[in-house]
Amino acid sequence: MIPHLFRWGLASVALLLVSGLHARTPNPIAGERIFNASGGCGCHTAENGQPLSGGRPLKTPFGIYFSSNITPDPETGIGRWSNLDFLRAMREGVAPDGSHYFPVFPYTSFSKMTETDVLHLKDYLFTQAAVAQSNRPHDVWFPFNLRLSAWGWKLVNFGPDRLLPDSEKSENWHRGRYLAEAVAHCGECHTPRNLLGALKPDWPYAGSHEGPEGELAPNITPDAETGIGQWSADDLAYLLETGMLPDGDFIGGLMGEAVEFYARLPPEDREALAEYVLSLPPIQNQVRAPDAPDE
Amino acid sequence: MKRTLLMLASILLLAPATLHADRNVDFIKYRKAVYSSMKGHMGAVSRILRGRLNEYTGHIIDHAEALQRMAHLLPGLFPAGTGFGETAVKTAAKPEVWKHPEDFRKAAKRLEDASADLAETVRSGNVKAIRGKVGAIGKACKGCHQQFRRRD
Repeated sequence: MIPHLFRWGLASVALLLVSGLHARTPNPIAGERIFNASGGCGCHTAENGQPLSGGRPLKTPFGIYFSSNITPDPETGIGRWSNLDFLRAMREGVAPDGSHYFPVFPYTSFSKMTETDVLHLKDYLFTQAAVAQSNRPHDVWFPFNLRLSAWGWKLVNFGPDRLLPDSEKSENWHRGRYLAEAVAHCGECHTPRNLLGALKPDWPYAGSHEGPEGELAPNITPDAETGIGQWSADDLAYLLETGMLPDGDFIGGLMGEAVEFYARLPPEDREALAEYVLSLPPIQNQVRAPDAPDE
Repeated sequence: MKRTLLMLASILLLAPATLHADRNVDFIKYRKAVYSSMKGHMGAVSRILRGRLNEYTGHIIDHAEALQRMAHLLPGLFPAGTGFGETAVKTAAKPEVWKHPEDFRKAAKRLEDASADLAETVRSGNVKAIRGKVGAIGKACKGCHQQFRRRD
């Protein structure tokens, strides 16, 4: 595992050196599309807080993590970060000071993003209002409170994972897969996790009882009984635009917040997401109790 | 004899409380039915629009007016004792409904107003504005769910 990770680190550094990071022109408009597809980096905005200034509590089985300030404030935000800092954070889960992020920050998904998109996202974030707000320390149990454990977790659970093209699938499907897997990070909430908090590889999008903020994340595989197998692609795209479920109900919670941003995407992005999600293998997994509240 | 009397006395004392709890269960069931009916009207409106059933556009007025009336009832549907864990049935209502009744009343009013606005828009024949008005109702629903409904 260690040489594997090391090799990948070396490879990515080499890639960055040859890609000429200094020679690019910022493109915050392209970055806004990535930002919206990510759900507006909503975990970094606390209730009644300034946008993107962090401090939002994220309840997990390991304790409460507080999201960080990602506004361009130089002292408390990411204003002093270089492109390389931002790329390493997003794709390798490594902070500018060399420490490792806890996987509550879904670098595990963002690692699949293209370098161009990651930097466009940074361009966009740097156009946002800087907010001076110091990061709050996490409130998690031992040994998960140790940064070293984040490193150990990474050795066991994280490897570079590329999205390989599938010649049988359409361009739209590939776009949807990229958005879902790398940018919108759907699986981070909708895929159940193991005891170590890693996503269960055989249960993609099958729903989780321990979704964000202690709420349930439904099964979104196209299983007819326990998932969304009865939905059309139009139903799903419509949900991503309006927040309305096919039966007329409206979602809330973190997904409700994310939809505010998905609604700003070009329609073809929502359609691509819908095509990809409905193409997943159906998994039978009853997450919601049949007598779930209806109010 | 003494024990029987004691039992009888405690039954008599506890009976009203038990009856009251049953009443709260019934009330929560009623409340859920009201919400279900709103969901049904919203689903109907979206099916008319998404199915391009243009000859039924006029029906949107009926659905919107029904939503408006139901929204008007909402602030009165959360009496004390009908929260989560207070009865034998589940409820998705967060404690915030009772903690911030004024905010909840405002959230319900937003839905009431947005529904009235939709009915009026259809009545005036401004077909192009319909989708936007339905979107405003969606925002009212979603915003309230975010603040006052939990999912589990």
